[in-house]
Amino acid sequence: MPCIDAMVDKVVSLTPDQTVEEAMKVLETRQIRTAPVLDENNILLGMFGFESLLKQMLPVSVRMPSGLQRLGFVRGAKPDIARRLRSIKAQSLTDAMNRDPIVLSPDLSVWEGIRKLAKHGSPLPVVENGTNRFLGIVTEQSAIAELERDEYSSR
Amino acid sequence: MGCVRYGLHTSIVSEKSLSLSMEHASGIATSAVFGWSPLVVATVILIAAYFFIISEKINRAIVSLLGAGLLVLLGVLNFELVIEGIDFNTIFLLTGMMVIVAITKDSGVFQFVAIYTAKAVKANPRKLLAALAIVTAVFSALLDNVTTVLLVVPVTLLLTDQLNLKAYPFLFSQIFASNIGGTATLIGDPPNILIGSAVGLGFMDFVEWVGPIALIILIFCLFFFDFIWGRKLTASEEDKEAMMKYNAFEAIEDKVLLVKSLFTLALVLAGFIWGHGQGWEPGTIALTGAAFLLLLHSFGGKPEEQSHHVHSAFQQVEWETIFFFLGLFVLVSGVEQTGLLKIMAEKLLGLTGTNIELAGMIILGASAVLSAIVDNIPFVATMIPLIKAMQADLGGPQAIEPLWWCLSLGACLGGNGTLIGASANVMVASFAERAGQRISFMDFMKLAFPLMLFTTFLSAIFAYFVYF
Repeated sequence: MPCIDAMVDKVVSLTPDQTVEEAMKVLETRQIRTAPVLDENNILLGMFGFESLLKQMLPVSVRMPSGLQRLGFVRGAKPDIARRLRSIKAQSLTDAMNRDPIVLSPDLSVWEGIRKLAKHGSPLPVVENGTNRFLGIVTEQSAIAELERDEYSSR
Repeated sequence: MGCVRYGLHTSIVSEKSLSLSMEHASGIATSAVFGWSPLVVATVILIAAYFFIISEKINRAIVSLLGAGLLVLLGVLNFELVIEGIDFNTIFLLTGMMVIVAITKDSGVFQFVAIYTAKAVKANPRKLLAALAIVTAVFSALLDNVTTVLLVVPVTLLLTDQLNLKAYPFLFSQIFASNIGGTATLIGDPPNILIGSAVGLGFMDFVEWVGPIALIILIFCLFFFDFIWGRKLTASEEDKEAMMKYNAFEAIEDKVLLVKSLFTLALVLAGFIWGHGQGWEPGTIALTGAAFLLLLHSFGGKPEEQSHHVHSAFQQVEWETIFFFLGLFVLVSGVEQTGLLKIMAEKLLGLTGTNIELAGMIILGASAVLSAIVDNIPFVATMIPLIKAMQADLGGPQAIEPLWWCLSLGACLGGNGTLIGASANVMVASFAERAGQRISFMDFMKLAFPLMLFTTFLSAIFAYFVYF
């Protein structure tokens, strides 16, 4: 039972030259949280979602490894927060996306895929080994559906 | 210049170790494997270890442990000499303080102090530059400077981000403050731990003899940083008002743990001060303090909660540093037992004669410059037995005490010279890079190296008039 069987291949994707604002409109319109960013050859460049945007809003001292663990002492918004949001919205996805997403290979066991989903969140992109060509995504729903299909087929 | 007499607390343990070392030196094997000279084997291994540690091609803990293992396998040292060569007081002191800091930091006290300080200076950037440097220096003196920057730098980055200021002046000043603060006490910087443990100098000995010059240098640096950066720093009223809304008390994550940690830290510091006269080694005090804080932290919890607390604290001990020290002690013991350090001491004595002032100035200058370029820990670990080997010709343990202060000042302050001069510098540079505010090695050195030389010059003047 490989990940490719649990994969959804009809996926809304983004391009690196789109701005954050354009990408947000796509996500809102299609009612999704995250989408893969692909080049013209369908190569996965990264993932972008509202989570990436929220991370961008956090101070760098929190985002960086070994940074601050809590911000409970920060009261009131930073005065230039609106300016910062405008600046982030104008960025291209090349700068704003997660360039190092967790990926699944098509022949990976679906159980290992589920373990990664549980640990890193959904969805996870499936890419071809070696070329990084995007094949689809595995979500919580698609993984559960595949497990159910497998159970029915084995009866 | 009259020789100032002061309380020298040469420990009985250290004297005993020295006499034991001499006994073993006379009984050491005359040849290693294949009939090789133990002196040559130990020297080659030490030089090779130094090369790999300086080049940073291989992790320093691996290098020191491998070198130590080779000394035994090649017949230079036997297991008894290995155990004797390890300074367990240093190992226990480092481990104990690491455990205490690992538990204390979870209380949020470091963020609290940094934010409270920022609010106390009304978010004024000029005052903030000096205030955060003082906070860093004080924490570095009471804890270790790497832990201090690890906890203070992220808050600094948040505060500078809030005030729309470049972080560089703050990070630069904190590097200097951490190394200067660490110079002032027995536990502030690893070279002092090594010196204090090997010679039997106590917490208050460092405060009394190195503390004043560390304070003078800190004040000078604060004025210097104010002149080149502080007076030009400005922030908008809007940004300052936003920072003034911060609630420092919210930064305290666990009030009960905070009380327990501060109580233990106070006991440990009191133990360092009072216990020295009672013959208590700092390593014993630190490790007992760590066990006491673990007890307070875990008391009343379920067995699995207690295990979690203990595992979490032990996981945060920098084992790489501990194993590096273990291997290093054996490496240095190898060249000490085979007589290399005695030969080097004779050479140095040939250069200085019995002129202790000249010896002190050479040690101060050389250790400052070398510590800026190479890791000061192996340098100090090698210098300690070398200076001990000179003590008979220079008038005994009391007469050479100024040399220990010169070594401490040179090794600790020298770390300010370059971005790789001390572990704290490397840590700050790493944070700066992660925050997208990379500190260039050369840009840092252009200002830091001359400033380090000047602080060494100030130390030399102080040493000349006070120690000799």
